[in-house]
Amino acid sequence: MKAGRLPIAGNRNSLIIALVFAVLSISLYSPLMLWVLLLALCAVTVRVALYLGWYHHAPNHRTVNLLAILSASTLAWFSSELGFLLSMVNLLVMACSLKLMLLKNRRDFLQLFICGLFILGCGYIFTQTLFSALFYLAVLVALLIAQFGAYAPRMPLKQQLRQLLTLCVQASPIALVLFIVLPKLPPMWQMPAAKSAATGLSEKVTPGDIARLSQSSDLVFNATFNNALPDMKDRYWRALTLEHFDGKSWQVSPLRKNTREKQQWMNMEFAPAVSGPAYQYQVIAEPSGQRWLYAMDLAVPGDSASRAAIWQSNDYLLIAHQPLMSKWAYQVNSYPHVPLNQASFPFDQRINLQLPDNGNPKTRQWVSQLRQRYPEDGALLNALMDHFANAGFRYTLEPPVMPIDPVDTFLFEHKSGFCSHYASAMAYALRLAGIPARMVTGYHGGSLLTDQVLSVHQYDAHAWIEAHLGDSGWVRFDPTSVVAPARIRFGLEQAINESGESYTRNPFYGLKQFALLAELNHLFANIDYLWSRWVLGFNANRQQDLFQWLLGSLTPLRLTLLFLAVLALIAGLLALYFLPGWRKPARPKHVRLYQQAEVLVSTHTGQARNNQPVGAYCAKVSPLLPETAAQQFKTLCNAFEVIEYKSSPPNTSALLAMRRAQKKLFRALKHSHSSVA
Amino acid sequence: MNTLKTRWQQQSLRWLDDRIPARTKHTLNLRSIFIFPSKFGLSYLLMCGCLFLLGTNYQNNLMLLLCYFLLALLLVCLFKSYLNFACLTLTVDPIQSVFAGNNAVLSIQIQAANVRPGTSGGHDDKFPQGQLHFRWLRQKSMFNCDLNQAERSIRLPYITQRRGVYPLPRVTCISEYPLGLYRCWTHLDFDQRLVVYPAPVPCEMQLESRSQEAGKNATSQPGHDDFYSLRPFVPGEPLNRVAWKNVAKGADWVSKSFSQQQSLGGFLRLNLSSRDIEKELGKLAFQVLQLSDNQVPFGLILGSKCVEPGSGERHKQTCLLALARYGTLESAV
Amino acid sequence: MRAEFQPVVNALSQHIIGKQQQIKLALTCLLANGHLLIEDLPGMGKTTLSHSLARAFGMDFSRIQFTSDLLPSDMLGVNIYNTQQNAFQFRPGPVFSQLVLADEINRASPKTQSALLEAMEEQQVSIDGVTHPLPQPFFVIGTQNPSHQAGTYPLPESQLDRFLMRISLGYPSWEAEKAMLEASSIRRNPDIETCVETQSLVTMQDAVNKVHCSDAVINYILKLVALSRDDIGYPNPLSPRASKALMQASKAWAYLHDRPYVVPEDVQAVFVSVAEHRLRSQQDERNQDSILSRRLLESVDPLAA
Repeated sequence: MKAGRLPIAGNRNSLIIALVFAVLSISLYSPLMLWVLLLALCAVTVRVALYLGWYHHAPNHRTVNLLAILSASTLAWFSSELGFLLSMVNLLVMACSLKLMLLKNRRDFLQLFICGLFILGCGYIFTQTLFSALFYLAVLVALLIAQFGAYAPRMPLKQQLRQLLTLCVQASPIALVLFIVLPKLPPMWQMPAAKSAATGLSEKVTPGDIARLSQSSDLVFNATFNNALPDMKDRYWRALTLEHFDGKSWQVSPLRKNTREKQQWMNMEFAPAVSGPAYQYQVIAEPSGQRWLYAMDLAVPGDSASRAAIWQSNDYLLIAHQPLMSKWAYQVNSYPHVPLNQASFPFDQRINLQLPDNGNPKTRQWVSQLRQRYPEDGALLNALMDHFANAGFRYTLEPPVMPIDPVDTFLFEHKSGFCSHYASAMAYALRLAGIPARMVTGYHGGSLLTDQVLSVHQYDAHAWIEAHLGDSGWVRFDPTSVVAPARIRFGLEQAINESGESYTRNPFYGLKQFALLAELNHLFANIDYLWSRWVLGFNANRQQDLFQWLLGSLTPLRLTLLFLAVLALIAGLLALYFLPGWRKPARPKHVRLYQQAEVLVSTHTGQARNNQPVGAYCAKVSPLLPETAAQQFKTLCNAFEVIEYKSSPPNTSALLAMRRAQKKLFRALKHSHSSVA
Repeated sequence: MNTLKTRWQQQSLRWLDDRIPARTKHTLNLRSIFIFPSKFGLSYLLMCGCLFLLGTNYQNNLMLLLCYFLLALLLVCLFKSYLNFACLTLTVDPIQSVFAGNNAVLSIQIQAANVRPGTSGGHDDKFPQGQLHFRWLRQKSMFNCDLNQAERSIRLPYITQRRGVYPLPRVTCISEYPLGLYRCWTHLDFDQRLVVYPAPVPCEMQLESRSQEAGKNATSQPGHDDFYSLRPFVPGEPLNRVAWKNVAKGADWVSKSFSQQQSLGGFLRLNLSSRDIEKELGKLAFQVLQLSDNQVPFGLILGSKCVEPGSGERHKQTCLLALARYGTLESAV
Repeated sequence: MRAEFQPVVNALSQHIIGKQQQIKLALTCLLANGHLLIEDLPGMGKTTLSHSLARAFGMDFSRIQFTSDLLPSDMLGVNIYNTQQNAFQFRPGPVFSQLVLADEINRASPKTQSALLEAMEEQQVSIDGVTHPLPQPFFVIGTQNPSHQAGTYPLPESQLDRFLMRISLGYPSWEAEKAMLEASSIRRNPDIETCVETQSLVTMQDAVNKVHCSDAVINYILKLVALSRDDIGYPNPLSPRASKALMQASKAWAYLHDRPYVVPEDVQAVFVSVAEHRLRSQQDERNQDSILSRRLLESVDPLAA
């Protein structure tokens, strides 16, 4: 509106929008830079002070312009460090703060409202839990209230809220229908991603790193199986292959990375041939900010949508085209009986026999001795496994630090370590013996959320090795399984219990102490899973499944009909809301009771009430009714009169009497009906 | 360019006349209401588009859900806006004539169209809500009326410059309730003719008597204004007329009687030879007011048109109306 | 019916036989602190009714026969110069009684009529600037003769409005008249004894005000009134004074029937007497008795919200 100069002091709507803005900025504390957050809070303080009448003049334009130039240049300075997305979010919040300081007329207010909605939407980039969804919903309502108040300023707040909530409730079913029915488009272009500080696997592992992950109970992914679940001991979720060893750490081979990029460039995707039984499951991965995905054995994407979004690498990994910035669901088929022998062997061999030039002399010596004793690959492997099983190795979450020649120190000195120590030592030993071997990191196990759903947490992180054995291709070996069989059979928790380590440093401490807490935890995990699966994971594929379930087969005719039906549904909803006559004023309960009885009595006696008062009508029809019915009708009418005319507060006992009398009346009349019949 | 614009304006006015005929009481309906997303509504739509792009590109269902919710809200608001506006009934009080240069005030009463007094159970949800904005068609200045107030009427001032009889322009009534996403508006013609009298110009009294009746044009009539004489008290007369001073002196009761000068046949005449006819008319208006205030009967001669002598409020109105119409097309009527 | 009133009704019924309903309405009017207009032919027992009422409640009674030459001062009283005390002294007129029977009210000049009606409304009389309060309770029963309209000054609508109720006694039934004749031939009617003290009548009138009138009943009254205003079939719509009168009378009726709250039946019971004379226009045919108010009652549902 042009004629819209807002009063400054005491304007409730500008206060509400300022407070909403404050809450929004605080909720975005992680992507925002501290000074931007402070700027936002300053602007809100200015607004509150103006509202309370402490100041009477908003900061003038010159001051705010100066501030704008200053903040913009600061932001520009930091922008390279922040990346595009965060810069934009910071910029948006910064601009809103400055606008808030200047807020003078209706136009500013409307701009703020639009920006507020957009910032609210951006909030979902960073968090998508059920809780945050509800939180932002509440913020949205507050924002809308401010907007509503701008157009009905004299309406009491309570009525504003009622009107607005009515609108929102009316809008929600339509929104839901749109959400379910509107086509789910694939991303149109690559979006800038936020740098994430999420915990998780990394592309470089120094033995001992994974132990740190075991302190975290964050969810990594949920897997929903269509058919039977694999055994606990077979649940090896591959995430990364680490093929470069520098004597201390394992990391993703640069050569492998390079080749993968080249192949992606040339669109030469690796497509292993698969056969035999498969596990079919959907993985809902938590955002990791990384592109690797989790799958078992030889895995291929399970449906077209997943196939379009996933790159199959020739080390049998699944790589997403987009980093996982939000929860993401993909469908996978895993073939446990198909050997991993389809990739080019010379290439694999070349990078998997790589060794550091020196270091770990004892190990080198030991392996050459072993190799002499067991010239055959299989025998050597068995001997190594035996060595881990019988030479007094211990599984621990708190391995000692091994800075120099770590493999030597581990194998011959401490003999205690975490899964990655074993994997590292074994892979190194195999390479020394001339057998191509690599470390694989990922997760092992997972707990059952429901019968068909596995939850995998950070503390399930695991490392094992794969060795290339001629025709069999890459074969999995897990030295941890012989050192700490419980870890593989029952999970980390059991393994820790057996090792007798203190509970204080372990993630299960506290949570599982109380049955109730555990129950609650499970419940929340379940809700979160459902939320992820049905709301966040509702993708094009699920949509198609839904349509298929609804329509049978997806012929164009049926789809057209479906969309017409949806349009009709929305039109029907609108008609239901807005056509007059649908919503009759709710009659009080006693009036309803009486009218029901009256209808019955009038049909029975053939005497309509004709605008007579209740008592007079009762007297008129009483002689025409059976005696008991007349008596009950009289009781009912008396009680009605008492409620309607005598007492102003609701009279529950009379209402009860009415209800009872009505029931008896119905029975009496029915009885007389049947006896007449 | 300018002629094109006026042509267009005339065309649209004719269209409006056809679509929303003039009436003193308007109940808004499908025919008379225009509704279109406001500028803000369009930018809201744009923002929804941005959210959709962002949500799609990040494959973020919550963002999409938010976007769809906002779109659904847009849809629901369309109906809410319309229905809120459509249950208005606007009635005007007949507009009062004014002197040129003063503001005429059109007073518009706002009622709910479909709410019968017996049926509303006390709560006001059925009544239209929010702010209404009023302005004259094609004028800038806006007047607000908040329907959540007890006072549901608005006084719309209309600036007059020249004397004459004008049909009032259409009144534009705008509502953007509930969220400002839509603008509902209508242009109403309340079928009012505004009479603007010439602005009075102070001057000498120029009452000319009709020559043949000269000499017998004054008589006295009992009245209130001027003390005339004392006469014996008749029981039953109002006590405030008793001349208490005389009674106090011990004389008989007498009561005062009053009289008022009653002149017949005075005429005001428009000086046609003057250059500035408007000023002459202003002078005449001043004299009409003066004479009426003093209750002196007079007549008015405006060229060929003549108003017979008389007095009283109605006579004053007639004379002023004649002055307002002088020289306009309607003076012939 | 309330126990106190049973003897009153019994006693009155002995004098006006077969007219219980009218007696109850008259009592209601008295309880509601309003004034009663009886429209009837001569000799139907108007005077008897008023007289008996006065007796039953122990009120002092006076009767003013209205004629065209009756002056307001004849009725209200005059200031008379007292030579002994050298001062004006007020001599109250017949209106200074607790129960006044204004007989044939339509025969008096409008001036006199309006003087009475003013006294009824204000409950006081101002003469020569001095205000004289009327006795409490103050109850006027006006009578008028519906036929023989020649030379009368019919009460205008605005003045009719001042009477809370209008009733007409009508001819008694065969049996009632027979009983009356037999009774009069055997013995003189016994004098009515005071059944209710005047003072307790005043407290009863206060109690009537405290009778609960629920929202539903008020809405019903409002709907009746609103319909009379909206429908063009009613030449004289009911005024706010009428709706007030209707509520007051309904309360009194409820009180008379010993109910602490009003039900729509109460409204209906008094509606004809309260509303008919207000609804009718002067030109109406007199014989279409109570048709307007009955039609109104039939077209409004007391139940619907």
